[in-house]
Amino acid sequence: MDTIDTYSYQARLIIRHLNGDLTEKERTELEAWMASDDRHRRVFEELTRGEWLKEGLQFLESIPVEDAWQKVAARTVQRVPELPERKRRIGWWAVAAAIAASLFFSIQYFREDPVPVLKTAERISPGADKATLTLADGSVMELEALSADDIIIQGGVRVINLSGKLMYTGVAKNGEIAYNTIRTPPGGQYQLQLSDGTSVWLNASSSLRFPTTFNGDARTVELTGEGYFEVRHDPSKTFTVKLAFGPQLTVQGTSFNINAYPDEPFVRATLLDGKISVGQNGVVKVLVPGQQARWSDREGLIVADDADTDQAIAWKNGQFVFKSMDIRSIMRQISRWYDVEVAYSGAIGSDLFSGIVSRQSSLEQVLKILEEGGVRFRIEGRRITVFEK
Amino acid sequence: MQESLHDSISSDIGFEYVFKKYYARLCYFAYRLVGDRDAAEDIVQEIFMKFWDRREGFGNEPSVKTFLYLTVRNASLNFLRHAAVEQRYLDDALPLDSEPGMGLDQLIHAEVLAEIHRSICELPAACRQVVELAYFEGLKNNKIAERLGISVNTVKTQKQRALGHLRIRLDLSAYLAIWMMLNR
Repeated sequence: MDTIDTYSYQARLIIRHLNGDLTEKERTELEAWMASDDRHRRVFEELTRGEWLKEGLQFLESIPVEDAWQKVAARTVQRVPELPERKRRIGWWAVAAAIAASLFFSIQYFREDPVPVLKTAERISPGADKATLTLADGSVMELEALSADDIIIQGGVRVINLSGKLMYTGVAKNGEIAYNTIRTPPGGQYQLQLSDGTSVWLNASSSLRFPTTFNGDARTVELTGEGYFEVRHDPSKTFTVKLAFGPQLTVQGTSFNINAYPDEPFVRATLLDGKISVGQNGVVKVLVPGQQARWSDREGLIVADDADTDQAIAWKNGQFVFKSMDIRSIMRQISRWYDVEVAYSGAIGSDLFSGIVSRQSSLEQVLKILEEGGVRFRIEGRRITVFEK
Repeated sequence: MQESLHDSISSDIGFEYVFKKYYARLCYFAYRLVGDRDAAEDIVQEIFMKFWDRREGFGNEPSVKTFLYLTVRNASLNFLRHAAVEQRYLDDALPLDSEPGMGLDQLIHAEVLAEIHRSICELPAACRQVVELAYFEGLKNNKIAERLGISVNTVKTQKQRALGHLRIRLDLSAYLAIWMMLNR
């Protein structure tokens, strides 16, 4: 049975095949998928047949869009707007007829075409690539509404938005520095490539404020929530991540994850590669790969040697990885990714849970797995209540 | 700076933008289902009338796209059911069945095609010439080189460049949204 994941993944493989980009492993996967169902093989063969593309493109070119637009415009945008109600005297029979006509039409419509429903209460789906971008002039754009379109920002910096990734290129004219902020909602995530080539992955309920281009000796960004960074090495410009509260991190050409949600007990900076210094109130600690800096108001800055890097960056790889984690910590992650509220009823023990789940699973699937550890859930709309069996 | 589509869907500008962007590919999609080009255009124009009446109800472009494909699909199936007994099945037209996933293949084709077409139109001029000769006229590399007065190597380079552009422009989020709708 095809799932959304497999079909979209296979579509990606087919496109890579068209570009001549498949690895051996991917080729095997694609062939297995094709062998599993006749329909799959048909899709693949059609898409890769040169003739299809040529005929298709010729068809598209031959459609008279402008003429069609003239026809449709005449019946829509060019129509004289109706007179406002109060200027017309309408007999009761005309009103009744109008109501009857609109009822008839809506019944026809509902029977033939399902009304598009933007939000369904019955089905809580996992997060997706969603974010807003606030430009220097204060205007806000929804990134999912601008798929594959260029946004030209004033000052010569060019921004491209493609399938969940926002990329900044170009240099600001006149050395102007403009700040943009990208924000992910609950249930959102996004990837960003800054003008120096640094990549940032943002988890749900997070934000990054950054300059559209880096001038001068330093590169500074401000993070709230959770972000995974792969910083482009540039010895002449240190890279600094400022947080709304807690420590400040200065890095040089590294890969690291920062978790700085206000409702987590610690701010955690986990280093995967390279070197970072974490500073708070004049205290500076330097980390090597595999270490994690933890900060809390109460205990200040501590460096731990035994950081579980898999668990720290699982989210960026599309997974939840729980290793001996308590239910509340797990549910905080669930609530951010599925955009649900969590409440607790009665005493909940301090059992620890372990498991790996794909972030593309539905909420029901994830909760089912957690139920094997002895907790129960009640779901009402977007509110989950946790209680013990 | 491009106006946010969110604000424009309910305005005349948004409607024109949506029409011009999606009309040709929806005609292709309908044509793949009904096998009749004029009927396909009529169907799509009627669907845009429906969209015009409903345009206030959409918050973003993906939901518009879903609506358009879904209603064109349903209208195409209705057309086939009500058409005269003597139906002409061209090679591309599908036999009728009421599988819920029906139309998905055609949709993938239409979307991939439209994105490639859009990307080709946006290629740099020299690149686009080579691509058009290769695809539209089906010329081999040496013939293209002759026609444009360039070397075969340059032809190959331009083709590679085109593929590079196309790779980054193809948008897969479209497939996800529509797949979900068709499989509910």
